[in-house]
Amino acid sequence: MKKIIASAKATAHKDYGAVYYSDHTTFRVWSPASSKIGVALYETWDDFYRLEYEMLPSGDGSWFLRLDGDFHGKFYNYLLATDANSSVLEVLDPYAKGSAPNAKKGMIVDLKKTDPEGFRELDELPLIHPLKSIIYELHIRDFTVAENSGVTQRGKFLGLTEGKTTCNGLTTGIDHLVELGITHVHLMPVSDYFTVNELDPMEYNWGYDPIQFNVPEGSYASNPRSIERIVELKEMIHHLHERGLRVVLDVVYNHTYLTENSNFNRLAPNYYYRMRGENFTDGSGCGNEINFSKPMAQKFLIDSLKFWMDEYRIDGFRFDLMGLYDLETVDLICKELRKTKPTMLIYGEPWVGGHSGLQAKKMFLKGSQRGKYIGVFNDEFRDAVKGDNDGYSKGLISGNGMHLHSVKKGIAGEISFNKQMIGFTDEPIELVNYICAHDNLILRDKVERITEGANEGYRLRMNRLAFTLMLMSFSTPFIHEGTEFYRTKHHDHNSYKSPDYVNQVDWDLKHKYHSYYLFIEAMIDFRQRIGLFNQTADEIRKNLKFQNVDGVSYTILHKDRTYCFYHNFCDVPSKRQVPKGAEVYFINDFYDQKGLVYDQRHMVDVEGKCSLIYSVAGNEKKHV
Amino acid sequence: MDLTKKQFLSDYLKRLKSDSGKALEDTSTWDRYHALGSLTKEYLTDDWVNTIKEYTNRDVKQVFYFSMEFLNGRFLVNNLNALGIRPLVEEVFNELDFNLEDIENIEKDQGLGNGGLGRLASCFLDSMASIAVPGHGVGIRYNYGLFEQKIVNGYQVEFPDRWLENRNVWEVKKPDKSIEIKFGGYIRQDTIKGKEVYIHEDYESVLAVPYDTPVPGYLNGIVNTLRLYSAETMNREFDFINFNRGDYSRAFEQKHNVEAISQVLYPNDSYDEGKLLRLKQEYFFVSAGVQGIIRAHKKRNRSIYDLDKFISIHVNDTHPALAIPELMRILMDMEELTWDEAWRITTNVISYTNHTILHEAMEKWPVDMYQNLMPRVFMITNEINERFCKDLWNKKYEGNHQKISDMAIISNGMVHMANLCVVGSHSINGVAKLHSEILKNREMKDLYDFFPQKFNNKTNGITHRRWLMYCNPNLTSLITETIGDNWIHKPMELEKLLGYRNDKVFLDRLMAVKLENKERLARIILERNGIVVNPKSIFDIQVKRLHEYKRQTLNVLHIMHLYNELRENPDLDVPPRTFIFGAKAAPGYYIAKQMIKLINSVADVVNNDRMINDKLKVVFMENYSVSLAEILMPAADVSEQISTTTKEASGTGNMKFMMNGAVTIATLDGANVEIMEQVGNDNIFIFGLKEEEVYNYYANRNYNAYEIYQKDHRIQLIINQLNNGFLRVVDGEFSIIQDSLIRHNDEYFVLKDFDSYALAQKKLGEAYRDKYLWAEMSLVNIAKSGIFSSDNTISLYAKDIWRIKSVR
Repeated sequence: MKKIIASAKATAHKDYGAVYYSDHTTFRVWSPASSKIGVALYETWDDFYRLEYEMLPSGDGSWFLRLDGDFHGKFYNYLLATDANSSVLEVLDPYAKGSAPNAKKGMIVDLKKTDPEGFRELDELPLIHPLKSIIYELHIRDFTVAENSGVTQRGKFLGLTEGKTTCNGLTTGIDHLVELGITHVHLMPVSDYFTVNELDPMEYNWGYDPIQFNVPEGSYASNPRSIERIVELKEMIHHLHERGLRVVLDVVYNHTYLTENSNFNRLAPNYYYRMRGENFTDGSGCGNEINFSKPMAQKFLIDSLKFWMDEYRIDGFRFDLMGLYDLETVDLICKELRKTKPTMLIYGEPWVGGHSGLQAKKMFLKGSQRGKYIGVFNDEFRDAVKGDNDGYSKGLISGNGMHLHSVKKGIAGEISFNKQMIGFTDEPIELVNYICAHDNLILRDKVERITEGANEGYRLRMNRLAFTLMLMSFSTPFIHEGTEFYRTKHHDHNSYKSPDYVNQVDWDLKHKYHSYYLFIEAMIDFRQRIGLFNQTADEIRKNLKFQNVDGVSYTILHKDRTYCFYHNFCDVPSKRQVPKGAEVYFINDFYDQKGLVYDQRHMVDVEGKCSLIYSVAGNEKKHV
Repeated sequence: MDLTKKQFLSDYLKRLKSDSGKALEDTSTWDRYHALGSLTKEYLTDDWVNTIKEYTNRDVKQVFYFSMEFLNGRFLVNNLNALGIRPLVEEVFNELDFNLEDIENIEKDQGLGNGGLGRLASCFLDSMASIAVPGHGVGIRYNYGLFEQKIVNGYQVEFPDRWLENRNVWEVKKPDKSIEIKFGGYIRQDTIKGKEVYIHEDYESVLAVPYDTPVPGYLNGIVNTLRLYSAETMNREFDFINFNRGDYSRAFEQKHNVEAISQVLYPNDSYDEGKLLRLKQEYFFVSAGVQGIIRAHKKRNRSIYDLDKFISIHVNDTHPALAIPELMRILMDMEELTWDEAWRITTNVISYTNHTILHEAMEKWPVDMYQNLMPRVFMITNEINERFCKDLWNKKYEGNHQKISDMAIISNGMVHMANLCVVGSHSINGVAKLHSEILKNREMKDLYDFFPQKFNNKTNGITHRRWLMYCNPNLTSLITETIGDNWIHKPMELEKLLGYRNDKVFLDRLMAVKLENKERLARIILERNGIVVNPKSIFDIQVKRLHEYKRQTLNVLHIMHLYNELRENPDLDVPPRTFIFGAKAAPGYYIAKQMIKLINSVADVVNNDRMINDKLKVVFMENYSVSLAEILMPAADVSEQISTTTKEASGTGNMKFMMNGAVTIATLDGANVEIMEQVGNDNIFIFGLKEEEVYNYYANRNYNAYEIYQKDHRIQLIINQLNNGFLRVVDGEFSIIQDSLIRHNDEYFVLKDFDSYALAQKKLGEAYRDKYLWAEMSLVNIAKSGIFSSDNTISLYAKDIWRIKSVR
């Protein structure tokens, strides 16, 4: 094959892929080094026989074909002539919008036919400030696949459309999300990934193995053979929107599952990936990394993001291994997406997964987000709160005071708070505080690991303390599915392909740990009701005060009231004074998010691993 | 037969109740099968009795087809169809809510054969009955047929085939027609009234008890007989003297020793083990068969001198060759004919089919063993040899000791059975044109030069009833709808289908039938092997005994090559292929068993590799048998007939595939040559060395497998992969295969033919892309398959060899 000139420019075409019209369909693919390209057109998803059409070169490296007729629901691939022993390759269109099962063929889709009723007409959800956002990460299958989810279409997109589902009389599924009070549903990858056989209903994977970026994963659809995967994902999004929940996609553009053999690499050999000589660099830890500095790679990324935003009405994106994106590309993402959707939520992992071919100074890392209105995950806060991910080291909730400083930094939104506390953000909206996500031990399992011999009540308090620290901080909090009712993954620290019994959200736990759950629900309600974490860096520097006492102690001035926080990370109770007239929200196991008014001064015992939260009128200097 | 639904229902319910002793709703599938089978046999009985009567009354000549093996498979479907009552039965069963197919599928195969030779015998019986040739089978009723194969961890494991565990409804035991067989002892020569007599003394007697199975013709009222002998002790039960003495094990010893004769089929195909028990089996059934024939002949008051007017005995390969000296013995010792009279009759009666030229399959017996077991038969064999050698000396080869020794029946301490057959019969036929030519021009050239008039060819055939009509009902209906049903009686009329080769509507239907059959097989593969295969992929099937000369090796090495290509390029635009194997290996044939392990090891690696986009699947189906073949043949796109040229005498699997519309990929070996003649070059994929090239390599000894290994990188990679961890087996697992290909210089030219095989497969893949091109190829194969109906073959045997006319 001919070598592609490194400087190949992006071609301006807006019609890459198969574009459907009622009386014709156009195909365009970029493959400058190919000598001959054809379209193989199939009647059905599993057809072997096909019609073949030759594409014409447009002179700019792209190839074009127009076919007259109505091709909705037909399948296609590109036939690529290679020089090597005259063999032909049949490759998937990277721009395909629909697919046969297991990414065997692309599908030509009349996208209008895939909109649920009212999908386009529904108004955009009102603007929501990032600091009033609460992100809830879930995996489509995990969330409803358990029999006790009460859902009919278990483990599917449609499972999240079913209202009024319960387990032991408590809400499950979408109703649970509404009840909990979160604002954004962060979906683990829903674009087509390689590692699950879509025709085998038993298989499981998290989905970080992208094969088709613009096609929904078929195993989440009631039928992976046709347009259901598109229709049902839209149905789900529509239902979430109707219930006031915004939808964030976890996107994995940083690598592809296949490397040498990927469709990108077949269409434009060694173009789309970062290379060191003849070798693919592996910044993702998955064998390759996309080179977004290449114009056509960048164009594909932007086209794809805009496609999801416009076609599926997505409200935000979470970028996997965002360190692999160069800074220019990140800027372009923000610019392009916020052109149409100014409130688009953008956040990601500010790190890489391996030795990258991208120069460190060009990577999007912690700090790169300054001033860009992009959130980054705060792994320092995470580790400071609970200790390391999968090991035996202990964090603040275990009483390890070494981490006090880091936790405080996280509470202050990682801003430059004072000379002693200098974080990596300009504004707290750039921060996503979390205590666990899908990776690594889930919170409960981690706590169990470091509290051998402890009773469950003790462990529950430690879990609750971790939640409290996260929710009572200046950042966008991030909750992993089920942790709000003490979910376990049976100590599986890397459950990416573990069976359902490990991964599924077990809804019985919501009943079993109901008081734990109610406490967290109340804390979310408290946070959202008062809105006291919705402050700029300047305001925080003015309104947030830390006290040097045992435990984590701080006050926040908000609308003529002072809110006082005391988190006792030790084991022994601590005596605290609650002044007369205070509104007490949380103390030990007690909660009243509206505030219980103390008519006189009280000395209270804050138990080990418990918190005290109350407010008093005025700008009180010393309260706690 | 004439049967109303009402009559059948009443007959059946009565039978079901009396056989099972259960209420209708409590009967099991087996009860239902058993009742239907025994009733069907009863329905056959009138025709059976009448047929015997008719043959006797009309004084027609009858042929007895002697064969060590009859690979009958199941009977029920065949017999219901022969009676023409299957649709009626199905209707009644539907009303009873019985599933006829399930009931048919519960029947155990009668697997009294290894492979092609045994199956040929069964096809011939079916054709004889169906074209009304008075002909019967004679063989052994083995208690255990060919072993049941299971695959455990990729290896073949053998289990006894307990086909008689539940009653066999099809047979009738005829104890009154039992025959005494004498083994061992010595011969006392005496002169009584001036006549030399030979008295057999101190011998051991075994009783041969016949079990008769009806062999019905298709809708013609003819029912011939398959007579299988079972060995029993003369004194029936056991040794009371020892029993009373308390020596229980000795009391049963003789019974066990005797019954051992018909206990088990030797599981060797194309290989002669030379075991004493095997020789016993051969003499056992041959002696019983010949004695029985003479007894019946005399019972009808026919002159012994006219035996050859009424009787033909056909020996299927050399295993029944003892029929020659045994018939001589009876004619001389019992019937008191002279040598010359007996010899004339014997050679007129006996005819012989040669099935192989493989040296390891050429039967020969040590003189001592032969003489000790059958002293009188040996004397006669010896005399035949003496006279023959004298003849050679006198007529042609005076002084040429080497030549005479080469051609002799007894030489170097061995009795050569093929030579005995040639000398003692009037007809020797090969089983395909190429095979017969090789016999005449190479392997039996000397004998042919001496007896040129005896040699002829009869290309094998298959019964189109079992192998098309019954196993592929959808295709059968499509054919009948298209060209009428004349082809059923005149299979050559399948050629009328050629008129539809450009008819896209017909071709679409033809491919729809094929797809349906493939979908059924895919379901069975999922059920049995747990492997998901794509019914739209090419179903490329190689089913036959596992043998080096049949070259499953070539197939599997090529699969490894395709896999290597796909690993490199998963998007390669090639049609997806599913390679399906079925093969039993003789239990003592180590390299063959390792081939099974290799196929399964490759399957494990290939089937679990998601990267190759499902473009390749490999399936080994265990326990290949007649009933499994009936499922596989209709579902095949590609028929693998890839033996080393000159090694496969004919093959019949090739014909079954062809008749069901598979396209053949083949070497020009055996009947493949004639298949190519029929369908033309465009409708078959031919590759590999030609006959001349193979013989040239032998003559010049200049084949060098190592050189190919060095030069062809594809081959180098594959051969190395056999033993470098690639297949995830222990080190050295496949060393024997590697060694046979490289160190032992690849006796079967696998590496030599690899390149042309790969090329042919590539072309085949390209042809499969084009639906109508492929459909037309498939159609031509079906249309041209009529000539391979065993009805044709049998009418030629009857006319040219046996000189028997059809009675209809």
